Amino acid sequence: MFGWKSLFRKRALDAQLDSELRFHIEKLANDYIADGMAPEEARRQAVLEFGGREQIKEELRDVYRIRLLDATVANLKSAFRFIRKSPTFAATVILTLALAIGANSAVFSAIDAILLKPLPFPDADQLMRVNQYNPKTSSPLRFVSKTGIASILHFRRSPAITAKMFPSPRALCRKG
Amino acid sequence: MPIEKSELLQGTLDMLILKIVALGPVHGYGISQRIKQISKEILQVQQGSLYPALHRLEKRGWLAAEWGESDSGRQAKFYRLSAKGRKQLASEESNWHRLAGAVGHILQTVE
Repeated sequence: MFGWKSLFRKRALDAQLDSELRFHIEKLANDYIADGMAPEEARRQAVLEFGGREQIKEELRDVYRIRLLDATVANLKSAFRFIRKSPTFAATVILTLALAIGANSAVFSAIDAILLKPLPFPDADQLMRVNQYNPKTSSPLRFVSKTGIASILHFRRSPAITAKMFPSPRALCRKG
Repeated sequence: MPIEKSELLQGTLDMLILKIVALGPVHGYGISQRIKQISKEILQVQQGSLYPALHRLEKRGWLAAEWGESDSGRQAKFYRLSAKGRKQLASEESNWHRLAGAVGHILQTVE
């Protein structure tokens, strides 16, 4: 939790570290002034005595930095401990997750195959299924013969339509 | 007359900080001054090790810190001992006395 917080408060932390260290340097400088040194010289001496401020700040940041690897290892350890401590609950959770993920991927692969993937033909969106219907007969003939298609195409005179025959829509789907 | 200064023993800085802070809330500069004064200038803590140690102790929950006004009127970060830190200090102190006693015994052995 500490590491998480400090991730967001990095700037605030930096400012705090800086003002903490600056306070120390000022105190040192005041000591030198009390000893009778000129203020500027005292300040220079204090900074010198304090040493590498950036280096110290970097070390302080290290104290707060989350060790990503450590955190991962700790999480894994606690996960295993939890599983061993209550195996029934863990099994329930794992089973639920497995079923949910399995069902989801099954449904998705079905939808993908039926709806999303284009059929394996050029200009698959131009495919048509042709039915014929005779209102005079009681049970209309739904399937169109080769010659029937040819006459329809002839009638339409559309150069955009090229006919290719497939025995039935079901067979067409199965090919995909 | 120059005073002979001694290096701090590894691991003793944390204990010294806890002990000084146990005397009352104090900022980093105050801690380094007190260590110098109380040890009669024999021990001197480098800022480069003092501040990382302070923040480590704070992170472990042995020290609590808050910003307050120093006697010069400037904002400073004051550290004080937590209950956990008090326990830690007690155990480190007794450990130290045991160790120092043992080392003393060995050094006093006459040939």
